[in-house]
Amino acid sequence: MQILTINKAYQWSNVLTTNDVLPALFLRFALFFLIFFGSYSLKAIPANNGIHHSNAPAKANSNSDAGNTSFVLSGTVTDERDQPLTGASVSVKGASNTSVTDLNGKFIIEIQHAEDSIVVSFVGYKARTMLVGDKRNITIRLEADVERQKLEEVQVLGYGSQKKSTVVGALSSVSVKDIQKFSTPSLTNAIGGKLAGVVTRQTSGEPGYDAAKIFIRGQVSQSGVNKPLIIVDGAERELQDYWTTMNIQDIESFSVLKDASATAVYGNRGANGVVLITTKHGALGKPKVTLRTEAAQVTPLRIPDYVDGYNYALLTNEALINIGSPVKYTDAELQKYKDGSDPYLYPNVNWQDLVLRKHTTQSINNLGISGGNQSVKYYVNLGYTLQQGIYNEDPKVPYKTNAALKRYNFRSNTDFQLTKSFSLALGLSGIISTTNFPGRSAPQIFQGLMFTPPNAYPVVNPNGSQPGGFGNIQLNPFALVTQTGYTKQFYNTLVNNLSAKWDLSAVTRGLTFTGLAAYDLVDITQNVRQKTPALYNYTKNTSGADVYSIVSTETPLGFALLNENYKTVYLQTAFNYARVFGKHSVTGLLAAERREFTNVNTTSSVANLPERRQGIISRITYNYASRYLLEVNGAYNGSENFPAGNRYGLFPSVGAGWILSNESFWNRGTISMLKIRGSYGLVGNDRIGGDRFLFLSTYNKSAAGYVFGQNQNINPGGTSEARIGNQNVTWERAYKKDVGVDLELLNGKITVTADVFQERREGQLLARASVPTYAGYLSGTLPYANVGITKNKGFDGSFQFRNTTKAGFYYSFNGTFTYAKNTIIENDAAPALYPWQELRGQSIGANLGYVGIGFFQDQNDINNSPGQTSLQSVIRPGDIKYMDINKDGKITNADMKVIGTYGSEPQIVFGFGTTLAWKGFDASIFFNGAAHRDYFFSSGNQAYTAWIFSGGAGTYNALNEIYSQRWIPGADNSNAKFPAVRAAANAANNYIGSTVWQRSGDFLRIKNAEIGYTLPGRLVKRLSLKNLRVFVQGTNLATWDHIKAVDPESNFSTGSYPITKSYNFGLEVNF
Amino acid sequence: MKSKILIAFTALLLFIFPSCKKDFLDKTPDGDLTQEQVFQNPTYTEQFLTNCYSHLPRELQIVDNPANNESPTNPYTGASDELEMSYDPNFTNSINTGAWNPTNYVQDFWGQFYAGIRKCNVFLENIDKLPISDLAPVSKISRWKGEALFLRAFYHFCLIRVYGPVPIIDKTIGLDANFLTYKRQPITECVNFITNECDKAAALLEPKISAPNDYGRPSKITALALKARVLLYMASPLWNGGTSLTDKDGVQLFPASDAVRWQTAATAAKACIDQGEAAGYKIYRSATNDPQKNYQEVFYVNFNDEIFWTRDDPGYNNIDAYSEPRGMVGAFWPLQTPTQDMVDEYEMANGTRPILGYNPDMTPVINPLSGYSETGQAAITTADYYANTRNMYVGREPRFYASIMFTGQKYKTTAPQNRTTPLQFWKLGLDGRPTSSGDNYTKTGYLLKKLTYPGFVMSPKADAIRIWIFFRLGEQYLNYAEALNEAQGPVPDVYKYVNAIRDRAGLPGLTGLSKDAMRDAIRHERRIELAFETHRYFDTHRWMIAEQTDNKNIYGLDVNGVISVTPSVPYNISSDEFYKRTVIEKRVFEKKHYFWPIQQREIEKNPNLVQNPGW
Repeated sequence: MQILTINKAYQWSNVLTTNDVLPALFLRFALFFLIFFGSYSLKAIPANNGIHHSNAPAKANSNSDAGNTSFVLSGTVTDERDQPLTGASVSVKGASNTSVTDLNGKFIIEIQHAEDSIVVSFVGYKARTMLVGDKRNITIRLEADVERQKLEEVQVLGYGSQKKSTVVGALSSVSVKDIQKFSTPSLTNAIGGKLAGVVTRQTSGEPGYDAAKIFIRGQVSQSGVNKPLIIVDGAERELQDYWTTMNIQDIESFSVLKDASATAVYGNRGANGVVLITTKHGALGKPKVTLRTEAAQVTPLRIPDYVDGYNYALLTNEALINIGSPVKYTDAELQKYKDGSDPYLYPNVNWQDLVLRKHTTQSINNLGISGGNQSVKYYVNLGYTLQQGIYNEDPKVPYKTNAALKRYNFRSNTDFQLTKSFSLALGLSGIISTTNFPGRSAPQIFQGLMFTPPNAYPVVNPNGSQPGGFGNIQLNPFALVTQTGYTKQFYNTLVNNLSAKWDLSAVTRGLTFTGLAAYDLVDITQNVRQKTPALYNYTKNTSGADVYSIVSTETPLGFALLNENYKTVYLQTAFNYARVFGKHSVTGLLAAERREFTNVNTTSSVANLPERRQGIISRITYNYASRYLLEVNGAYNGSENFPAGNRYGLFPSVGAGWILSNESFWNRGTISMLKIRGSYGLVGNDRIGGDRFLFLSTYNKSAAGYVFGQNQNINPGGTSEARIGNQNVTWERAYKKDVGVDLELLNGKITVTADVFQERREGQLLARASVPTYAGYLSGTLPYANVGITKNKGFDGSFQFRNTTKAGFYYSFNGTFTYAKNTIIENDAAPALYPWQELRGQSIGANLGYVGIGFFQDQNDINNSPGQTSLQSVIRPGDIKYMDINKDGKITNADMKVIGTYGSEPQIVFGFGTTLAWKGFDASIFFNGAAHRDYFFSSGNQAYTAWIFSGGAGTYNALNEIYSQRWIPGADNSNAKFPAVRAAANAANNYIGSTVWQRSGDFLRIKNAEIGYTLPGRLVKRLSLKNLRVFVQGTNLATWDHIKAVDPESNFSTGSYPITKSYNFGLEVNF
Repeated sequence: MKSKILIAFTALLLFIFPSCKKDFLDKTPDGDLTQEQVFQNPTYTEQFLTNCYSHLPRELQIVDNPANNESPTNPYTGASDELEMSYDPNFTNSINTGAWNPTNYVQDFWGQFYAGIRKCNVFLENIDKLPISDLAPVSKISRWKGEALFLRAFYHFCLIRVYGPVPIIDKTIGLDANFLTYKRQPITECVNFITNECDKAAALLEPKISAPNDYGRPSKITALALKARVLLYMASPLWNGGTSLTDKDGVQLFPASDAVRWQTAATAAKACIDQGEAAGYKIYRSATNDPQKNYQEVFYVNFNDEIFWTRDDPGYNNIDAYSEPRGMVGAFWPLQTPTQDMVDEYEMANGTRPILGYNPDMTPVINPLSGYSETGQAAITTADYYANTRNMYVGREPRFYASIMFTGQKYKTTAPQNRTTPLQFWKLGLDGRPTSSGDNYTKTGYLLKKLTYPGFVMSPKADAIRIWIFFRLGEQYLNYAEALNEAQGPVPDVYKYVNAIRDRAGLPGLTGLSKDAMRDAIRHERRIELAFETHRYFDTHRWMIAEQTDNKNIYGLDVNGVISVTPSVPYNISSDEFYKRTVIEKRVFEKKHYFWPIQQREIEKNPNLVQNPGW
């Protein structure tokens, strides 16, 4: 606090401008405080571990009462389900003797008079008062105090926590119970649609790489990182996205901070929102053992469906006829494709069937033990995950080629209460995973499947050798997957916390001091063992003899070692203060932090330099009578990535709330709780993209030289500006507004939370496209500057209804909805030539393309339409007809307009579901969907299967989806959705980006469904268990969408490792 | 015990907390150079200057487009009426067919020259920080400054000769600058800037580069030559009253016509010539004073005394290969093909002009006094051609034989080539179009001989060291004569300098011409003497005759014809049909083409850049 009272203004400004000094001073001050006052306090506090033993009678109260009939009362305190409650307090009314229940819920207490009453209380339960009477042994059952629990319910916030009822920031939380209904090794896959304000999209199901993208309230930056900040157990932990592989079973709480009020404390890192995860800790009680095991049968959700060999040959002929060329296959040849009479020369191979499994498996197993006493609490858990890939293997190959993930997660959280006021917590966790892949990457494999037509070559040549081809179908897909070696990846992640909490009530009530040191390490080692298989192309020569031409000769398994190694050190100290003065409640936070991230194993000295950040954080909240809430948050932090003098920024926010339902005039009949809240503030994003140290001008020592001399051999060499430094480079600034309402109806049976938000994100780092060329900056030297601006607005909300009938039937319905629409305000591009090409005012990811208005029916149609010869010299019937936007009678690049205006990420994400439970049975179903997303079959040149034959006749596979809806000469084409096929590599008219290849990415799917049964208590007891539940889950059970050919969450283009559907059987046992 | 734990813990914390260094965030890379380091170190400084040269146009490359992010090549030779390119993708072809506009033309001349200008500005703004040392004595620093000043002026010249008025950038532009304040400066301002800079540079540069290792650097006379050339352009009609362009503030970017500018140009050219000759430059003559060699050797005897300034381009050596006839072993790129119009321009050996003009059907009006004939064949073999060579190529001036390859010509008759057959450019002839397909053949029936190296061997490819001449004394003679004739009429100095050029080429001197006839003679002389050196393109523009010279059919011979298809009988050296003038290309030149368009994206960035007229 001392630092804040530096009294002279010039000193204060001095401190601020010297930038680095302030947080450093704070840290030093805090440490001295901790040492000196800490040892003082230890002396001051007697060596008392803070637990009052029940057999300590109240000597102080020894007024010699005549009727002293003291006796010892023993008893047990239980909850509603007769489970013993540990730590409940038992006291004699009107006297000072108290006792606390032990691990078995037992207590003993000295009673003076039979008329005495004892009061039994426990946090979250309604206190009970009982007359002792003549009882000497007593069992007291406490009922949960739902109202009170709710009031006491704590919300985890940045750098601390707060009573949920008084929070004014916009937050969403999801319970672990909900997350674990979706069986997945990747955390982000499980949360889609479950949190208001969170947008996720899972694009791949490849083991080890199947995590969904996550955006909080959508993406806002055109150029910077749009990922949220990930805080696990108080420290930033997004190293290599390892957090997505966290063990879901270890998670105690998962919350998302959305508005400025909640995120400003994260200063220059908070603008994209924050994910706060805390892990489980032990609770008082006997060791509790939990075993959860689940096994799933996993099916690829959608594999592109390609036409067979006969139809492919027919289509090839059609494509040739369409351009006026002679056909490739005679009727006799077509017949051979049809009847399969010559499978070697006229093959029909479904490569997908050959390469991909119908089903594969996955299992997730966890064994956890937790418990503790007053001094030590522990939680340990070991998880084992096995996720198999969908590639078939060749039994003759001695090593595994299928993709597979094996992962061990361990975690140990131990809390030590060292003195009454001082506790330590040590969290150790690690992830050890080994993944196996075929010798070629998933993109290469799925590209191979897109490239290789069913009639390219047979599965095996007549002489038993492996077939191969030429050009981009050199490796047959089966060889691609099974004969190219393998790659093993070893991920070793260590995530460790050491934290201390010191209750400074001795100094002033309500003050605590905490320290946190975190050390994380990620080590990724890859053994790459690739080879080229022996492949032969089989044909017959004119005299009918077999000819085998060598496509590739076999190489031995190669070896390459790749290693990445990253470490992070994070340190934090904080003072927390919370106190109630009558109707005034005040909390305060002052913290300082430092973080250092190092890319250890790197080749460039710049990349090797540690990335560092430090700052101080503060929050002050005030509420009056739990009605009027006010909160001021701020962070002052900086990073090494910005020029000295401009490294630090102040990120303030203010929030206010009004709990109307706590007003005396409020009738709580229908609306039992109503809170209105709002916030405004500035948050930063220092992950702006681009190189590091953009403020430095660098020089290229090996730039172009110039030759002098009679013999043209005198070249002094060249030095030139490599990058022009931008002295003003800085973080993105997000100005966020949020107004929200929290509502409870019918005594909490219905809860609703809704928020409207708006953000203006300034200072996005973009290459300076508006700098005139005469300024002389070459393209590579032109600096980046913080010039991009976007705006983001929308609303999100959640709804929950839950009820238990008198008969004990529980049912609930819940849903979330998120709408976030971003708009580019400034992209530093020169104004578009035509207004319909302007990307300002559009969403991030919108692009330019032509507008297809059907297909040319005949030559007449072509003649009477705007000319398209600038796209392709000869336009034929069946070609796409484009809209002449500028009405100049011809189609040119002036007729491109902004298409795909929703962008590549959905603007709307929602989820809803219901849960039913009755007598040990429980069932739930959850739907998840997205809307306002544009999908394109084509993406740049990654359009192989969408654009059939775009590499010439017989190149690329033909998707059934496109094949069956193509324009066919002479047929009724009123329902055609795709142009006629053209066997010409330069058929540019159809193979350019247009709305013809665009589809709505809207979808709805059954994300998960679960049925569980908890065995009745008696049965379980007979098995010496505490609890036993069996369950069946299904994930991604059904999908409704517009794309059909591939999964609606896919990236653009038409084939990549598919996401999966699974049926999961599990068992959870508590001992 | 507990207190020990606490103290241990806090000590641990203290230990792992980085000590409270003030520079926790002061982590910056140390592997890169900074500007301060560059201009403290003479080696880096010299390298920075060397890099300033790297944006010089590579005009030896007539055929090839520049690669991405490389300095411009030479579209001018092929875009004038002297040469056709047998290579479609060239930017030149877009110019010739009129298929270019501010949006679709992508050749980055503007950006490359302005990049060079920025580098010169950075150099000039920092060079005074370099400490004087043995490696960088005062004399060297001042020469470096002179080079940077000259390069900056030359880059501006490279811009104004195609774009006309441009923004003059004489200081580095910071990124926080208000770009809208930059405008195109009136052409007179641009020319003043260049001439003043040339004067400044001239004061700092050696009169003539003395050390062979420094060949390729500009001399004082180079600066004066640039000054003289830009003033000649300024005096010429296009810039001097022939164009009207007003910017958004109403400023006239071109001045009214003023005849005095011719005298200014003449004075500058004379200064260049006089000081040049005082410094040791002279009109080149071969050892034997053979007129053909006198002329031809200027372009391959590197760094001869006529040459002021060159661009070395060792990475490029196709100037020879692109002219090698297909009949030579390994040759398959005969892309540099002079036009029939150019062939017609050369005089007869007796100094008369063979063709006086063209009839409406484009048949030539033959000068009966010249002895020129388009029929018949040579009876005997000479040093230049074999017997039976068409009379079109007989008795022409020495520069014709030094510049043009034609059917019947003797070619590389000595070792190692020892060719014994005449050049033959008809279809299926040894050097003509080989089959019905394939683009790589001479489309006019001629190949460019000037600028090539006689000793070049295609296979195995042996490339001689070639240079491109930016400035030579011969040009200044003609510059002076032209300007002086315009300023004062055909005074004796005009005859003196034109005739000096003719004399070197073995032609009789001019006599007794009117001012107009002299203008015509000088223009004709420039067309021949300076052929294929980019001058023709700029001359036809500045004289404003490009609407005639570049807006018409370009002719060649009937290189695609045969006597009979079945059975296949090709032409031979005697086939009259082969020598029939044939349209090769319809060229397009509109008034707007006198200036290149400024790229649309640049105008979008700064609407204060007014577009050139007609675009």
